Amino acid sequence: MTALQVSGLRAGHGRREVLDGLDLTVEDGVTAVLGASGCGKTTLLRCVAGFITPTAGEIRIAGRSVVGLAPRRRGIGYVPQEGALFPHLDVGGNIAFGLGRSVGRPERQDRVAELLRLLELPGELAERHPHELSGGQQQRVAVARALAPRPGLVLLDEPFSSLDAGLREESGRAVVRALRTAGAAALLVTHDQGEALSLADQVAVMASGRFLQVGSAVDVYLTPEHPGVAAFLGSATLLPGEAGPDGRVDSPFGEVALTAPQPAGPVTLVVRAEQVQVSADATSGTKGVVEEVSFFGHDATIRVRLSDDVHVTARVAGTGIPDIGTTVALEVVGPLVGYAGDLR
Amino acid sequence: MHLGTLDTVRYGRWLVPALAGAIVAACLVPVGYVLWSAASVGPDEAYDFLVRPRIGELLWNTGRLMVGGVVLSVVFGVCGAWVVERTSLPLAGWWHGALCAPLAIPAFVNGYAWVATTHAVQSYPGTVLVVSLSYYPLVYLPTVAALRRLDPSLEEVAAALGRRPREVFTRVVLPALAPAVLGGALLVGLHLLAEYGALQLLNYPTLTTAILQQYGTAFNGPAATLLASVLLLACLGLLALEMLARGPAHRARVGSGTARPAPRTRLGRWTAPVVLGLGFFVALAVGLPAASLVRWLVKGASAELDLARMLPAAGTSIGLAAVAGLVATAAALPVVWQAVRRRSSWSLGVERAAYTTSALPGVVVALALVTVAISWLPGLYQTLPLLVAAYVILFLPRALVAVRGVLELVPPRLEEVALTLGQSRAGAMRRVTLPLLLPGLVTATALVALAVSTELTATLLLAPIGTTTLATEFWSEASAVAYGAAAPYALALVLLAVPATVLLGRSSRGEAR
Repeated sequence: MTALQVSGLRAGHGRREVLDGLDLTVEDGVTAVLGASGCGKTTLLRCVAGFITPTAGEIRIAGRSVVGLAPRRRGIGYVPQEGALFPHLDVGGNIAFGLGRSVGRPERQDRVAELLRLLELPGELAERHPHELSGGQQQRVAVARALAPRPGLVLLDEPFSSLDAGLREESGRAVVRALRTAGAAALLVTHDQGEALSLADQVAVMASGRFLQVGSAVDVYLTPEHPGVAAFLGSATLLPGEAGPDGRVDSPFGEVALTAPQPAGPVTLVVRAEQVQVSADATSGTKGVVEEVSFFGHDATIRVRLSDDVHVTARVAGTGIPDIGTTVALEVVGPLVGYAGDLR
Repeated sequence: MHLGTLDTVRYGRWLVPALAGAIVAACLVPVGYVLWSAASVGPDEAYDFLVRPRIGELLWNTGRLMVGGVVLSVVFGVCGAWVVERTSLPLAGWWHGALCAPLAIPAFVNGYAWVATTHAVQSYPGTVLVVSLSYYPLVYLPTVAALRRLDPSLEEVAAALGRRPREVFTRVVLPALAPAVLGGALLVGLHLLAEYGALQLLNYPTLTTAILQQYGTAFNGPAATLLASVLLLACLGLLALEMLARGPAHRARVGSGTARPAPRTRLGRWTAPVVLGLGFFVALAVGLPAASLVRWLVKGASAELDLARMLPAAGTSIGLAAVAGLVATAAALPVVWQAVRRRSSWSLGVERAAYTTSALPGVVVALALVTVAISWLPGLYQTLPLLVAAYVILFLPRALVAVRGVLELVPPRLEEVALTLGQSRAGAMRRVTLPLLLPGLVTATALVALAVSTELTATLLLAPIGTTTLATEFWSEASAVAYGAAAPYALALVLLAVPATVLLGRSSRGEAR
C-alpha cells in the first residue's frame, strides 16, 4: 500500500508561499527530501505531521486523507532535529511514551527492550536519562520512541545533522535497518546529499518550494533532469557547448558525446569532477592551468582554467596532485549530460 | 528552523492572550487610577499644593538621596564584583556569599539595627551609607553575572591588539558591563524612591514617608494621591532616564564563545590590603546589623518573648505569603506563555507592561487600591484579598522571570512529539510541559512568597485592622523605639529572607539549575 501520497500541496506562513504545489508518492522504504536550507522541506514535513495546515492540496497517509486530522490520529512517527527526548523521563519512559494505557507494564518493558535491540542499543540504556547519552544514542532512542506505536510512516527532520561525520553514517545505516525491519516507510528531510544518496531508495530534490526531480538515487545523480539538480549533487561544472545539425556536440574539450541527443544550437553541459581525467603530460587533450588545489587526503579536487571565463573542476588521486600554476592536459571520460540552451 | 509556534500548539487561540491581557491590565489599574485622580484634582488646587515649601524640601531630599545612594551602591557593587570575579582574591566563593548576605536583611531591619546602635546615622551622609549597604547587592549580583557571561576571548583579542590591561578593562570590559550596572542602578533608584521603613527610622523624610504620614495622620486622600502622582512621575522619569542611557546600541553576543574561565588579575602584595578592606566592608554591611540584632535580642530577652503575640503574626505572614505566591505564579503563566510561545510585538508589549509594575512603589499601589476599593468595591476595603492583590501586582515580575526561565527551556518540539505519539493537547501539557515547568513554578512561588513575607509598606497600608504580620509587629515596636521588643521579629524577618538570598546568590554565578 502507498504509505504517503501528497498531491498539489501548497502551504505558507502568512502571505509568504513556501510550498508551491508538490506531488510526491512514497510507496515504502526511505524517501529523502533533499534541498538547501529555506527551500521548504521542513514545511513539507510539518504539513504531513499535521503541525501546519496546508492552504491547498491533499495528503494521504496509508490511503486515508489526513488534512484537518490531529497529529495523534495520523499514525505517524516523528523524529525532530536533535531528537528532542523528554528530559524528565528515562530512556524506557521515552520509548514507552506513545504506548496506550491499555498496554500493561510487562508488555511495555518487552516493547522497550525489543526496540532497543532493533536500534542496536544495549538493553541497560533503558534506565538512563537523556542527558547521560551520547548524541548518536539520543538520536536512536528518538527513532525507537517514534517506532514504538508501530506507525506506517516515520518522519525524520534532519535527524543526523548534529552528529559528527563518522557517527552520522553509522547512525544513518542503523536507523535505516531498523526502519526496514519494523516495516515502516520513512520521509527523511536533509540538506546533506551524501546522506540522501546513500540512505534513500528515492530522492526528491527540492528548491524554492518545488521538486526539481524525484527518482532513485542513481537516476538523480547520473541523469539529472534539471541543471539545478546536476549542480546541487556532487561536484559538477556547467560548461557551454554547441550542438550541430548532425548531432555532434562541440565543447571546450573538443567533440564530446551526450547521454541523450539535443537539438541543434547552444547546449549546457554538465561535467562531473570524476569525469575529467588529468595528466601532467601536456601533449594531448585540452590544456589548462591549475589555479586551486583542495586536498582531502584520499583525493583532491583541482580547479583548472581553460580560457578566460571557462573553469572546470576535476578530481585527482591523492598521490598525483599537480602544482598550482602548472599546465595540465584534460580529457573527458564517458558521455556528458546536456540541456538545450545556455542555462549557466 | 522554528516554524513551530505559528500554527502548532494552540492552547486556546483566544483564551491565553485574553487572560494575559486581563492580568496585565489589572496590574496597571493602580497607575491609571493615580494619574486619573491626580488629573481630576483641578490645576489651581494642585498648583497651590505642589508649590508649598514642604514639597520642595521633600523633592530635594528625595533627589539627593537617590543620587548619593545610587552612586555609592554602584561603587560598592562594581568594585565588589570585580574583586571577587577577576582577581586572585583568596576564598572568592566565600566572599561572594558574604557580599550577597545583605540581601537577607530587609532595608528597614538594617535601618533599625543601625539606629539602635548609633543615632549618628540620622543624617544625610548616614542615611546614604545605610541604604547603600542595604541595596548595593542589586548592582553587585547582575555585575557578577555579566562578568561571568563575558566571553574571555574578547579581552584576549583586545590584549592581542596591543592594549594594556587597564585599557582592556575600560574599553572592553566596562562597556560590556554597562547594561548590567545600569539595570542594577535603576533598581536601586526605584527601591530608594519606594523605601519607607528604613528612611522613617533614619528620620529622613522623602516623598514616600510623607505620603504615609499624610495617610496615617490626616487620612488626607487628595493630598496623599497628589504626592503619589509626583512619586509616580519620578519613577517614570527614572525609567526613561535609564532607557536613554542604555541607548539603541546592541550588545548581543556574537557566536557562542567559549566556556573558559576568565583570566584573573594577580593581587600580589595588594592581597592583604584588599582582604582587609573587603573585611571592613562586610563588617559594616553584615557584621554591624547582626551584632546589633544579637545585642538587642539578649537585652530584650529579659522582657520575655510574647509567643502568644508572635505566633499568630508568623502564621498570618506565612499564609499570606503562600497565597500571594500561588496567585502570582498562576497569573504569570499565561503572560509568559504568550510572550515566549507567540512572539509578537503585542505579546512582548504585554510582558514589558507587566515588568513596569515592579517599578511602582508599594505605597502607590496600596494607596490606589485603597481608593479604588473605597469608591467602587467597598466590600473589598480592609480585606485580605485586597492585600493579596497588592502583593501580586508588586511582585508579579519575580514570578515572570522564574517561569520564563523554565518555559524557554521547553522547546515546542517536545509537545509536538507528544502530539504524534497519541496525546491530545491537554495530554501533552499534562505529561510533558507541566512536569518540565514544575521546578520553575516552585521557584516562582517561593520567590514571591519570600518577598511578601518581608514586605512592610503596602502591608501597613492595606492589612485589615486586627490583622498582624511579622512585619507589622516589628514595625509597631521599632517605630516606638522598643528596640528590644522588635528584635525577635527582626530575626524572624531575616530568617525568612535567607532562602531567596541563597537562590539569587547562586544563580548569579550560574550555579543553580
